[in-house]
Amino acid sequence: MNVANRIFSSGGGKVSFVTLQANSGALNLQQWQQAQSVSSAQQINSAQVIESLNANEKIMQMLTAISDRLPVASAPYCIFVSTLAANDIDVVKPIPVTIEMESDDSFIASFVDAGISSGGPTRQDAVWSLQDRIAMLFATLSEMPSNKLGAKMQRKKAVLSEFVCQSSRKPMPKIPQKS
Amino acid sequence: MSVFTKTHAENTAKKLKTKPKNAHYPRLSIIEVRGQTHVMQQIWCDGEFILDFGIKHASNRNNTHGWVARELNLSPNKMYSFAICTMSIDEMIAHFIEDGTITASEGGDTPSDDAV
Repeated sequence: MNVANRIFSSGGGKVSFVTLQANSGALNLQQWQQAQSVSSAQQINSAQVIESLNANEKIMQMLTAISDRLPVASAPYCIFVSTLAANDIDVVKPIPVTIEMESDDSFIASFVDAGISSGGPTRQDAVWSLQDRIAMLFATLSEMPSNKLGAKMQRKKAVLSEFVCQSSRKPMPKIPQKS
Repeated sequence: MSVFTKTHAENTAKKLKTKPKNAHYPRLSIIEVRGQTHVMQQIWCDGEFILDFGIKHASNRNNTHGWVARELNLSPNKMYSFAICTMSIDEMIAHFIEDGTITASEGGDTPSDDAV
């Protein structure tokens, strides 16, 4: 059973279009209903929905849109990031990242201990941006002597040093070109 | 409350560079460092790197930049009022001194009541 089927069948195997429409403001389900000649108050079986849509991509898009609007999705939660996707920086211990919804199309990812935040239109984008911010800030701070840093930046440097370090991996050797 | 956008973040960076009216307050300077997804705005005060925040490269100027307030340790309301010029640079520096971002030696003497 795929994700779509599981969610559609969660309400006893039946799902009402009225409920779906209420949850997914961005989706034009009314048009879809007209196309499918289905009354909005009519309850239909989850298997019928999947058959008639006949496109898993559409279903996944709908579910993403619905899940992003659920009250649970707007609550902040924490994930752990174990890479910064930077060649020269390693993560020593997983970085706790708090993700929260700022508005319908905006998410903020924060590394609260270090006071670093960034954001984006999706959760993934927010985390990518934060990874870039952390990598940039660590690279900048590690080059600077402590006497050039204010109290807050010294604290940021200390916190970052706990979680990340310069990579010990050697860069890839250049392949000599054949003459 | 209105949304804090990229334009607001850029206004904030510009306004932080302006000279405060109060002669006792230090002037802040900003160095921009370009990264993969951000332009990092490093805020310097009397030769010390005191704070930083990131402005995304996004082409859409209406993209939200709500995280800037957090990075500058300000409430979203204050951040917005600073960007739209309701809050002055002097008030911002006073806030930085109050929360310890700028220390007394960097900020010079805080003006006393008789000096005003």
